[in-house]
Amino acid sequence: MSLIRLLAENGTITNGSIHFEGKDVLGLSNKEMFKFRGKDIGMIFQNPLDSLNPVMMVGEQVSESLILDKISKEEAWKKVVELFEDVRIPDAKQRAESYPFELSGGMRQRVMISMMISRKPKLLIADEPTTALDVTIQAQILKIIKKLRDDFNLSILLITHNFGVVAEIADRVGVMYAGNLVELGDVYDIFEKPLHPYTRLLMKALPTISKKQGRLETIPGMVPNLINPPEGCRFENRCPKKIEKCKKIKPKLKKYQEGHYYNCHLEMS
Amino acid sequence: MQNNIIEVQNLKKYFKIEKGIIKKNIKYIKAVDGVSFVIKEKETVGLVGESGCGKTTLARVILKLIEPTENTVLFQGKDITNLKKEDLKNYKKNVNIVFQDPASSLNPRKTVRQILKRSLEVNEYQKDSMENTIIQILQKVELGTDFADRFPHHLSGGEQQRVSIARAIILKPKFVVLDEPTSALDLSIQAQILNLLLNLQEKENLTYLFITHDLDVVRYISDRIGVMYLGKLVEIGPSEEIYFRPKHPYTFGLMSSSPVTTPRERNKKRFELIGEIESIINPPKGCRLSGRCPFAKDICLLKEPKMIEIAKDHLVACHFVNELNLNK
Repeated sequence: MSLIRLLAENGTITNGSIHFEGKDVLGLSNKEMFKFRGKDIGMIFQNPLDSLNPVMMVGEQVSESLILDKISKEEAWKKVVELFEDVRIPDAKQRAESYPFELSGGMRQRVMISMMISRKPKLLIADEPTTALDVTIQAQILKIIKKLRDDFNLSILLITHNFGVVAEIADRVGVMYAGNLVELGDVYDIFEKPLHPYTRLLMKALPTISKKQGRLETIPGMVPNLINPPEGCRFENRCPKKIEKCKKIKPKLKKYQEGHYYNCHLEMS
Repeated sequence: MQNNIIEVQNLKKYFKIEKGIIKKNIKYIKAVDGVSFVIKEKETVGLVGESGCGKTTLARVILKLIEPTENTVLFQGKDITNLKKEDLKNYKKNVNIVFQDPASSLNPRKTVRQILKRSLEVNEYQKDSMENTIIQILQKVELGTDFADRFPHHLSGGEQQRVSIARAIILKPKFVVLDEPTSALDLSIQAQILNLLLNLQEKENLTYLFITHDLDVVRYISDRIGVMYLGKLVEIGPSEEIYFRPKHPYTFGLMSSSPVTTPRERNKKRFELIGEIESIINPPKGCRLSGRCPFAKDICLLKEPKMIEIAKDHLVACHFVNELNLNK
C-alpha cells in the first residue's frame, strides 16, 4: 500500500524511500500519483467483489481505465473484448455486458486482472489474488498470471500466505515477520536452504506429510504486539535459537550469498 | 474391527426455490443427492470438494441441525430421524461442531467462562462441578486458566479457535464435525491447531469429520478422504490412495490443480477439467461430471454411475474406473 501511496490516513511513511524506475515515488504530487497508479503500477485484491462496482457492466468498468488514455468508447469496448479473451473469459463479448453478480469468483478475478493489464503497467501488485478461490480455479488464475507475465513483460509483486502459490509462481521470495523483512532470496533457496529461524520453522509447519509419518512442527507463542514492539529482534520470544543479544539489539539484513539475505544475529554457514 | 459410529444411507437434502407471485416454477437445489458412507469409531474422515458441492449441508444433516429430504443417518446403529426428547438431548450431547470463523461463532459479549458454561447449564451439570470442568477443558486445549475471564476479542485467531474446540468437546461428545477449522489461520497456527486436534482425538477417543478444501491439510489429518462433486460423493478411500493415486477423474483434477509443495515441481504436467463447476440447480443428467470430463462417453451422459468398490475401503463412482489409467 505504501508503494502506490494508498495508505490509510493514519498511516504515514516515517522513513526510507521508494524508487520506481529511478523516480522517487514519495516525492510525487497527488496529481502525478494519479497518473502513476494504473499506468505504471496496477493492483489486484483478494476479493474482486469488493473492487467491482455492482451496478455497472464489467466491460464498462474495464473500459473506464482505457478511456483515460483518450481513445473513443467504441475502440475501448473492442479493446475490452480482446482483454477478456487474453484472460480466457469464455464468450468475451457477452460477458462484457454482465454485471459482477452474474459472474463466478474466478471470472470476477479475471475481470480485475484484465482491468489491471489494460494500460500495460510495468508492475502488477497482486494481494492474495487466489485466496478466495477454489483450488481448480486458483490453478487457472495462476496459469493466466504466469502467461501475462511472460507475454507482457510484467513484473509481479505477489502477496500471499500460501506457500503452494509461492512454489508455483515466484522467482524470488521475501519473508516478512511482524513488520520486518527477515529473509529474501531465490525461491529454491527459500524452500530448500532457508536461513532465518522463522523461515525454517515455517517450512516445517507446511503440511506435506500424513499423520502416520509424524507430527508437524509448530512455532510456539504468538506474534508480538506491534504497538509496543520488542526493542531487539521481533522473533526473539518464539525463537528456538535465540542468543543473549537478540533481546536487546535489533539484527540487520545481511548477505549470505549473492541474492540471498537474512535478518538474524546468528552466523549461517 | 472398529464399529461404525455414523452411517449415512443414500441421504438426500433438497432446498426449494420458488419463483413468481403464485410460486409456480418450483425448482430444487439438490445440495446432497444420494450420498452413502460410514464413519468408524475413532477415525477421521476428510471431506473435500469445491464451494457449493454440499459438504457443509451433509455435515448439518448429520448433526441434525437440518432435516434430510429423504432417507436417514444412523448414529451407533440407531436412526436419528424420530428421536424423542431424552434421546434427542443425548444425541446432541454426543455430536458437536467447530466452525471456520471462530470470531463469528463466539458470542462477543460473553467471557470464555460464560461461553463454556452455557453448554454445561443446558445439560444440567451440578453447579459446583462446573468450574472444575471448565478449568480442565481449558487445560486440554492448552490455554491457561487465566483465559476464562477474557472476551473473544482479547484472543488471537488461534486462541479463539481453541475456545471453539473446548466448547465442542466439553460435553465429551463421541463425534465432532470440523468445518474448515484452520482456513482462517496462519500457517504456524494452523499446525498448532491440527496437532491439538490429533492429540485430543487420541486422549478423548473422538471421531472426526473434517471438512476442508485444503488438500494437504486433509491428507495430514485424515484416515480416509471422501470427495464430493455437485451433491454427490464421487470417491472415498484411504487418504494416501486418494492423495497419490486417485481413481475418479474429478479427484484427479482436484489433486492435480492443488499447488505444488516445492518449486521443483512447478512445471509438472497437469490434468485439467474443462470449464468451471456447473450449476447445482440444473445438474447434468447421467454423471454430474460428464460436461467437464475429457474421458466422457455416451453412457456418461445418460446413466448415473454407481459406487464400485475397487479395493478395500476404496469406492469410486465412475463408469470407466477400471479402464482409465489416470496416474500415468
